[in-house]
Amino acid sequence: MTHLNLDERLALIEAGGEREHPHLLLCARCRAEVDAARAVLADARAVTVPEPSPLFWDSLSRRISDRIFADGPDRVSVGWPFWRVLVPLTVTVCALLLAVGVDHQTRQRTLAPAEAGVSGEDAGDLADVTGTDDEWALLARLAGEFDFETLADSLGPSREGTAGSAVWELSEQERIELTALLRTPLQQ
Amino acid sequence: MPGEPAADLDALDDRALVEACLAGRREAFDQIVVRHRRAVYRLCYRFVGNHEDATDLAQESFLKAYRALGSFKGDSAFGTWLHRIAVNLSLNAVATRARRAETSEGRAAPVASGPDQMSLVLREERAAQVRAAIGRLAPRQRATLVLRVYQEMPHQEIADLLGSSVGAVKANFFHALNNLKRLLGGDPG
Repeated sequence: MTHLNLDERLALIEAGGEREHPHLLLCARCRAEVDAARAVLADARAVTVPEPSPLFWDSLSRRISDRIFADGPDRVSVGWPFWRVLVPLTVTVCALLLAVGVDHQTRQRTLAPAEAGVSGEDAGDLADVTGTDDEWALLARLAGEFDFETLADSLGPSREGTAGSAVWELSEQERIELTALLRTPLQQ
Repeated sequence: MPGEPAADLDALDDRALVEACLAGRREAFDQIVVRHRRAVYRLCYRFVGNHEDATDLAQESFLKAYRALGSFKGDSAFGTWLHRIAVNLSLNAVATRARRAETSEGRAAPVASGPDQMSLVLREERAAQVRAAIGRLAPRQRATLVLRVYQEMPHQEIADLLGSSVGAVKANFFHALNNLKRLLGGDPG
């Protein structure tokens, strides 16, 4: 004998006594199982939520309103909350990368390695580079001992939504990643 | 006065209230709270089984909804979206908070003074037992039972809400009923 499957059993249980299945007339096991589950379900359906005091609802509204008021009016999110940080940050990184790339190419075209004080072997050694050129020194310092205070100051006043404020809102891990991003083109 | 919506907001539907709120009319959210507080509280109560936790959860649900209003896209009814938040918070609460569900032992027993009163007392007693038993179900089974029995959600919607399959929802519901039966003493197994 094929017993009822899960879908059939659930359908019969949820329908209560209003629906029957021929199998239940033949199979005492399924019959007992369905009847017991129906009884439990009826018990569960009969459980009500105790009604709180009529004063409770206004009190709940006030609690919610007070919490919202305490949080301040600007806490409503209008989408991804990090856009204010990410957009200026992306612009900052792109600008720095562009500056590094353009400057690097210009120097490669105009300066011989000897003039730049960088040999072929130690071209990637930033210590040598920093000793020869002020602009390179600035970039190397930014990428090496990354000074975020200087960077943020150089980007202007720290107003909300500006690149300067974006730098201040970076976590330690994000700063490390930004440093790595800036280092890569310098070391190429 | 905080918590009391402006009268002109009464005629707006939920979506319009959300837009008003996003446009800076905070009192529009008070109207949303008035409309949905009972349903959200009751839903939370079904999960936690006591007034204090249900109140905290209802409050948190509204706060979370307020902070996330901008992400409400209107794909579903606002009530559904709000209930989803309440269910997720309740599920987390069930998993982390110490259970303080009301039990028949923990409450004052009503006094019976006649046949009707006796029947009422027995019904109350049984309800308390069932409530306590529901509180002892595994979180997923409890969630499935609450959403199916009390919220009358379709299996697919429960599956979406819980991040599982329809088959898993049906199986959880079936196991929930069997475990409830066992917890209520109907099956020693």
